[in-house]
Amino acid sequence: MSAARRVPAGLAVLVVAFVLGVAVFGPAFAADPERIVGLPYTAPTAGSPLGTDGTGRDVLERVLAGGRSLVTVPVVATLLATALGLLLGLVGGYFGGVADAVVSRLDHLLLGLPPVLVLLVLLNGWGYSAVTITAAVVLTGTPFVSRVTRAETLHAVEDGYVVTAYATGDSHLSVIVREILPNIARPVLADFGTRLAIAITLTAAVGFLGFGSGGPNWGAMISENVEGIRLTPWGVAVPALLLGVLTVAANLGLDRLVGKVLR
Amino acid sequence: MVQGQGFDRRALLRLGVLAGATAVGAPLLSSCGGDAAPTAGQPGEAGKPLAALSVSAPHAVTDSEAGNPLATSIGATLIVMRHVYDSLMVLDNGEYKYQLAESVTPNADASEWTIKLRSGVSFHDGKPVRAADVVHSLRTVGTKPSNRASVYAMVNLPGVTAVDDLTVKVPLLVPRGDFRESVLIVFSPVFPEGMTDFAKPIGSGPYKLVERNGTTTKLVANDGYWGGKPSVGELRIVGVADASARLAALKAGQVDYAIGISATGAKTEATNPAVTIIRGGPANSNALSFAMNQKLAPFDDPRVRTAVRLAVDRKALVDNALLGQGSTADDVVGKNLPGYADLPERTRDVARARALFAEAGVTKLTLRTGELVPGMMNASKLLVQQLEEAGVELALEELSADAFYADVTTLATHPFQAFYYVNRPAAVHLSAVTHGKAPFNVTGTSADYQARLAQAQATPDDAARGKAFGALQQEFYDQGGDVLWGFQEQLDASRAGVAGVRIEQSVQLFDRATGPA
Amino acid sequence: MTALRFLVRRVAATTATLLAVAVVLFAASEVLPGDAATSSLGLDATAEDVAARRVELGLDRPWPVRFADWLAGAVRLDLGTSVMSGEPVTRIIAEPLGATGLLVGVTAAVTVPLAVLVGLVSGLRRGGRADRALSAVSVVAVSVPQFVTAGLLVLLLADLVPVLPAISLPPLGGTPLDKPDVLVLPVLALTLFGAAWAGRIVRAAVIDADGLPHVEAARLAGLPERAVVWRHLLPATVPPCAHAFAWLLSGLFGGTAVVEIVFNYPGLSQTLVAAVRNHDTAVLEGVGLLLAAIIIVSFVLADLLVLLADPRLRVAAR
Repeated sequence: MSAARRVPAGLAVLVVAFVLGVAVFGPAFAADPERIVGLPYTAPTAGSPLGTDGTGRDVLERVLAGGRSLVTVPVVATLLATALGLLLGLVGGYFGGVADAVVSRLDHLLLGLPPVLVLLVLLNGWGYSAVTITAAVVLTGTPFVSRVTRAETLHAVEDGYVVTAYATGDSHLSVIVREILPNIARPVLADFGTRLAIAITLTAAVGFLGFGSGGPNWGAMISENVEGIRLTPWGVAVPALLLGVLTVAANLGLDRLVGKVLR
Repeated sequence: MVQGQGFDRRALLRLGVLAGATAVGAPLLSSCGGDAAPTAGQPGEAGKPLAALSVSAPHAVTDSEAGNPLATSIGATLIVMRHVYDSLMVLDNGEYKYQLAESVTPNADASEWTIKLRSGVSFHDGKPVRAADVVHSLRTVGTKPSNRASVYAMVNLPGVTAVDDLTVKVPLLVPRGDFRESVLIVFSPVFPEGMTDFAKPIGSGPYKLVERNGTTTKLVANDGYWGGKPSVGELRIVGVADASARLAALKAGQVDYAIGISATGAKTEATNPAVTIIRGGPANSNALSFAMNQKLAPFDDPRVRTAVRLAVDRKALVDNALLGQGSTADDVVGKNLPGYADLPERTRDVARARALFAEAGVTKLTLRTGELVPGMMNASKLLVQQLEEAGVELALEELSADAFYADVTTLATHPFQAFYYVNRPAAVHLSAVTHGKAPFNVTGTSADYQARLAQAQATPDDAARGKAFGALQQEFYDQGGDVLWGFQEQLDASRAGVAGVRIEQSVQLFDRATGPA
Repeated sequence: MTALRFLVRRVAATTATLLAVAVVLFAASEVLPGDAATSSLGLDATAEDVAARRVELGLDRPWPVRFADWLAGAVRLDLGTSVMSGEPVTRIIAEPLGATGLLVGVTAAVTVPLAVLVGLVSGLRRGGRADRALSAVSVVAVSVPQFVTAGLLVLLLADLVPVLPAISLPPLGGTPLDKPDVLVLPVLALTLFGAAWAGRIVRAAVIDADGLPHVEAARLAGLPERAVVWRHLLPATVPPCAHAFAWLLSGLFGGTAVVEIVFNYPGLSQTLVAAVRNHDTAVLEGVGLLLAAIIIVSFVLADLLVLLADPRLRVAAR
């Protein structure tokens, strides 16, 4: 990498580190982010550098408080969905037969349920919480990962490698880990960043669909304030910028990682 | 820009309240409507008649096609109903007036009423409006599957008869002095005898329905209308579920008038010269409340009810939760509407509230709440802070609007809940919501109160009935369970220059609208 | 295994899956707080009204019995009537289905070629300027919540520069196709996300396929690059991409709620959401099963495509 390209790259790392810092340590510096401190949609002042939102809550306090739940809940949910999908897809694709039939039925059942419906039922039945959001992400995300994994596994099984490896006496597990996983890593991981972004935006969409908000988070802040974007643009711009850096970094970082690991 | 408010279920719940919304409890009957009721709202004299006007109106996916009087719900369906059909009586310019009726009079104990019809009125198909049509209409809208059947619960429908071509006798199951305001004003559209299928609606109103699909209804002026030729030639009512989308359609030039925009939308467009914001005032509003159930602890102690009333900063609630696009309320529904008892304005007194709470030993409360209407959650959060200043810790139990209303038992047995009503005349509100059988009687009125309510309803004399309802309002003001803190006003927007649109109980009437001169 | 046998087995399996979906949908409607009696009556209804309505709707019976009833009707293609409007479900669904079908069709017709193009360009020139630019744009496009994209599109193209309609109003007695400009913003909002997301999957698949022995062999044999791409590289990308596009299609059919609300588009998602909120079980089952069938069929087709695209499997099938 040339020196000319290293500087912006270093800068990018710094920005990402800063945003992560805000997300992780911000809550420690924030006063009560739900407290209504003044009139709605007020302009920035010295005491309140980002003004207030449509309710009269301080935007800066909410920005500080609103990153942590984003780095935790959606990441965990996406990891869970990916792991589960990988497991199901591998079992179905590798062993075939009854295992495959069961996995396929389950996949199709989950895929057949419209995401909006899953979200509505979970939120109306059990309320907005980290658990329901995670459940929604897992229920809607798992079957897709599983389908892709299954297809790629089938593909790999048909390839000579697997047959050869198995013939030489390797166990199922070692065949899966050494021969199949590397083959399916790219399509599955390429999607991980996007799944993460979807999980994050899902938490924001909850507010949009009229289920209230589960406390401050950058995604929800965008949906809360986007209607008043002309009155207080910073109420949308700041969380959007932070959220953007986070998701873009997650996507690009993963791409890099996949590139390094696989090639 | 966008916010997912005004979803179907909430719209539906609004329908429930609206079942009696176009009502007025004025105990004193105003003069009978002349040939043309007076133009109200914005003066339209300077404007020009319009060839066509498009309106974006609230709409729910579950709504039946507009024009079916058996299934009116919100916005679009109500507006089409009011333009296609004449009613026996209507609310106009804040008073209740005869429309197709010429007079409605009770017998001595108000157990039977006689309706005299205006003569010389004809339906869109040219046939005259006769007593037999009225009998058919009342029976049809008073019987299920009509969604307004409950309005006619007090009427002996099989006994309704046509005495002659222009006279109808309506016997009641119980004497009711408030028959006109509680039934006819609420819902009394008239359509031809024998009409049971509303695929091609026919009424006698100022507009004829010519075409409709799932969202849009096209109406054309009934030039021979008995009340005068409408000033708008063609009226298009477009159902749009989302408030932001209704405003966006106006700004993009797709419609001329947007019904029901958000407070943020109104605030954003306040300085836009191309758009006029129309505020409905308390007369066209939702009345927002924190409802205390008087039957349940700790609100069975009158000191606690008084303390909450005194601890609440109504102005701050209106400024924050309603973005200032509303006005403060004083615990009783019906302000700016006929029959209101003109109760004194409440003022905040934190010190006294604190003392009363301490006296009653109350330090903790829980409010069951949700975003029932936009701003309700914010109001609840602000209430937490306001009660904190009076030394009480308030916990919020937040639910989705669906979940909030779903459990009728909890609604009737939870001591403290966010709630809202449509602001309608006090007599109609009290009759509909505070009686013993009302499942949403969230303030837990006593049996004594209910007896006094029944007595007031049965009083045939207008002045005496007005007085009785006035006393009930005073009782609610002093003792009742509603901390009614604000009126969330109807917010509409129009293209600059559109005038002469009247709003009656949150229903817009366009037959005398005009455009820029 | 021949494609025909594959299909027959899949049809049987799909029927079983749909039955399972039907059970889950019915159960979901039961799990939600409240019931159809309270939601179809208003706030002025008394407790007796609610009780009477419950009996009228048959809600006093246990749900497996009601499900069996519904199923018996459904088998005879009678999907029942809505508890809200009393209209037959088939009539309620017809119009939104057409509208959604149109929206999805147009979106897919724009999105799929765009995604393949984006994926191909950035995959073949990975690390290059075009790749980095496209990657950056697509990362942003998938990272922005859809309602924000939609709202910003309205703000830009209908409000600040009013060149397009803000809401999708099909003309009376017509479909959105009679007034195609109402489709532009919804399609744009859906395509931005779809093309970016699928483009990244295509890109990953292209990179993988580019390293395959037979692709390299074709290059070494001196085939022109275009032939290499069309005949060898693209077929190898079909398995992962087929599922991505199937998922995209299913997401479009079932997941357009946000876009439908913002643009007031008269589609299926709004009908579905209303049905859930009102415990309108017949409508919920109708729309849900329809969507499930579309989704499952598109995944079966994707599986079939994978089968057909794989040269070895094709040989084996002969």
